[in-house]
Amino acid sequence: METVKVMLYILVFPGFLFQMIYSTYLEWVDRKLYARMQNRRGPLYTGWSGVLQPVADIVKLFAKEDVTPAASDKFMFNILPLVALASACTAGLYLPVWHLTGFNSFQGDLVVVVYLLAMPSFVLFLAGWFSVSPFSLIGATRVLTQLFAYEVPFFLALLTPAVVAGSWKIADIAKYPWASGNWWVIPLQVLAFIVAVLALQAKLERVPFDIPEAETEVVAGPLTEYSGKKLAVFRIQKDISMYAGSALIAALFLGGFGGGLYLGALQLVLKTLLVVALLSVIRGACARIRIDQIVSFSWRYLAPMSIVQFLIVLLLKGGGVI
Amino acid sequence: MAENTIKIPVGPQHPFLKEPCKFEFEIKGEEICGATIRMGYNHRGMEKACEDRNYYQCLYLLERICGICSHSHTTAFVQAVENLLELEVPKRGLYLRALVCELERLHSHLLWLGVAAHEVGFDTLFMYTWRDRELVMNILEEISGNRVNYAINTVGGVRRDITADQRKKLLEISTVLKERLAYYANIGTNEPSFIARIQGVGKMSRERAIEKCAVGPFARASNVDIDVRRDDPYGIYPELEFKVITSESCDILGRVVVRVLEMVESCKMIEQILQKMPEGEIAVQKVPRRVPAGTAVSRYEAPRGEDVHFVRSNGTDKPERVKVRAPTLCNLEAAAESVVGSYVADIPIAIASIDPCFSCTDRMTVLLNDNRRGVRVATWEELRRHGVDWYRQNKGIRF
Amino acid sequence: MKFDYEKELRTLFPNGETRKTSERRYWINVPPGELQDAVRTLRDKLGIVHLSTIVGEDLRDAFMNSYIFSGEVVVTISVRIDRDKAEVPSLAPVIDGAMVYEREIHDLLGIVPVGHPDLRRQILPEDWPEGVYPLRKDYVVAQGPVDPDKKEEA
Repeated sequence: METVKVMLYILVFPGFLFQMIYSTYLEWVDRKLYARMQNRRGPLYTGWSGVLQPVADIVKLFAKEDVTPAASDKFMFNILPLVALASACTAGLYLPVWHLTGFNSFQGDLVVVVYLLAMPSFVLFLAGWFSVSPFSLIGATRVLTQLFAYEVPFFLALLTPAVVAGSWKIADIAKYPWASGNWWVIPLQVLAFIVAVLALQAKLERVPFDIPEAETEVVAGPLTEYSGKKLAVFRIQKDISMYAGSALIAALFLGGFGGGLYLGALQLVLKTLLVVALLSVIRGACARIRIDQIVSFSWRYLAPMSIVQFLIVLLLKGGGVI
Repeated sequence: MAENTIKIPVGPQHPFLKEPCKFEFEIKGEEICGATIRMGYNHRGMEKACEDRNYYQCLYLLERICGICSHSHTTAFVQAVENLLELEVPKRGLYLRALVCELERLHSHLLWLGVAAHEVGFDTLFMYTWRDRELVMNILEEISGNRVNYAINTVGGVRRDITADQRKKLLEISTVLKERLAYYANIGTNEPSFIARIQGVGKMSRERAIEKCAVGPFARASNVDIDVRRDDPYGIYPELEFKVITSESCDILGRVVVRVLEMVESCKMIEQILQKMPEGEIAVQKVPRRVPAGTAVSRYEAPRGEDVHFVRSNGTDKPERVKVRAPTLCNLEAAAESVVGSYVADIPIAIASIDPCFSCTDRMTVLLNDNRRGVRVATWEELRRHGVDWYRQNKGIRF
Repeated sequence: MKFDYEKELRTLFPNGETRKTSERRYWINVPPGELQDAVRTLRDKLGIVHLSTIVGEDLRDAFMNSYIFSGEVVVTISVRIDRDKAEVPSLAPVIDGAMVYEREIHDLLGIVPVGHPDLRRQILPEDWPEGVYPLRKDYVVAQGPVDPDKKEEA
């Protein structure tokens, strides 16, 4: 019985199935919002108002021819999409979605989730490296360069709520405002929230940080040689990363999803949608910046911002206010 | 090849190139230290083909040099032929030509602005400008019957007149566009991430631009004050009031600003044209088929710059030689040069900043399906098989 | 008073057979050897620096290169070139922008610009046979494009 329960956790909720369905929905929202900002209609035909379009895209990709380049490292080339998907899904497992505590939650799972969310970027680098094409190679080096730019501010920003709650456990951090009643810590952490959202945008490689896969420069970057099923797996991974990232930010900065069954579900939808909407707005309002610009942007603005926020929280904590 | 550099091929097929052209960039890390160009992928043998056709057939062939600036090429050509024939084109015909010309400039620049925004990943601006471009395309379709390749020019005038209804619509569009253009000028010069990508990128100094004989908005953005409409006025341009927009910034930002402001000028010109257009004939009624021997050079300010047509006639109804020099050809080398020293990420926008149009640039190889001589156009399947075999034999690649 | 280009051109190029065909269109003939000097004169004395294009032509008994310069007026310098010795001094040392047009003419007409730094093919494909110039009048289009695979079959 215990095994079945674990399997259900992993495969159904909050595991793979739920994540896949919900993340395609988030992708639809993102595409729709982005389209409306550009004075377009966005997906329209598949399902109600095109809500099934992301699923249809993935199904279509699965039906497409799957080419493995002759020069690539076949084993790595084939295995990497699955590694990326697995790490994104596993990251999602630890999140305290709905009113539940995350599956197998433990002290320090925040670090694990951050690590798992960083995994797909490494995988992307390797995927570019092993597909041996000039565009993939340039894309791969860009993935790594960008990773060093945003990862530190991202982690520093996530550290802030952990310090506030005095715990390394996501579930505890999410519960903190509910348990202590200190709701004012949410507006207090707005700086860290901004940094986290921007870094998540960079993590997901979306405009203005879509430098590794800038289509007019390096075709599709590390994914240039990928097609068919493997590309579809990467697509699913990207969606799930978006879900996991936005849910993580919602759990840490927006007070989590407490308050019982229905209120929890409602909060999950609203809060992740809020984060995704922010991501879409950023995507719609910016041009792609250059790789040197993202490095200087991260270290000149994002990192100092998160450090300032961190200091504020530390001082308040030391002063016994929190 | 310098040490530690790798060569990346860009093209003939590449997402940023809407048309085939091959660039080879030598890069060191992310920095570019050399560029070479190979053209000719769109060579269709038009200049040679013109020698076998009479002037009217040439007109339709030249219309198809390029989809975007089709009116430019035909106008330049008919101007040369009219010069040889010493025809006096009716005023209304010239006004209509200028009207289509300015509309074409609007739609071309709007297209460019969208493409430029897309090259730096600013898809929102891309969608906006292409939406507005539809306004221009629709009215062009209404006036001429076609969205591209308007076929409105003929030797001695134009083929269609505009109606009062179209006149009203044109004025409306001009008002709407002026408002939108102000908005784009604002975005183009204020949106920080967009500015970060275009300011100081693709530098081309005034001296180099003159040496390289650059033309059009590209040259004007490097503060070279040339505009055929003013320097070598043709048609009705002496009667219109307009400013030649130049910029001193010598970079892509300057090219954006120049093009946006030029569009505003075009809107104003359209209003003037509609206001001043006289009644009367739109074309010369009887045009001789045979053109007296002679040579003529015709210049025309196409959206991308100076378009030159050279026609040598030999007294028959076919030209002896037609030479077309599209503006992209003279700007292309300059653009490749302007990329050197910047980053890989700047390649697309820097090349796109001249608004390249390779079908204009490469013109000439005629496709034949001549069964008598056993020459035919290969089918897709044959081409594919040929390619597979060729690579298997010569490169040892197995598919 | 308006600058009289015709008179000025006649004094600058005394044996250049200056013609004026229409408003702002002037034509000068010079022998190939004097081309570079003529262009320099045009540039330094009249300030006409913009080379619009170079037109290569096959006149059947000779070739002709016409260098179209434009400033306030359009001055076309024409050079007659022997058919047997299709060579002309390159303008590349004088005007950078001339390179691209000279390459094109070299490709299509086989007129060699002597002193040109880079004469790779620009328009014709790499497998186009040497010595076949499509814009020459003796090249008949009806023959169709040359099939690069013909050789291998034979």
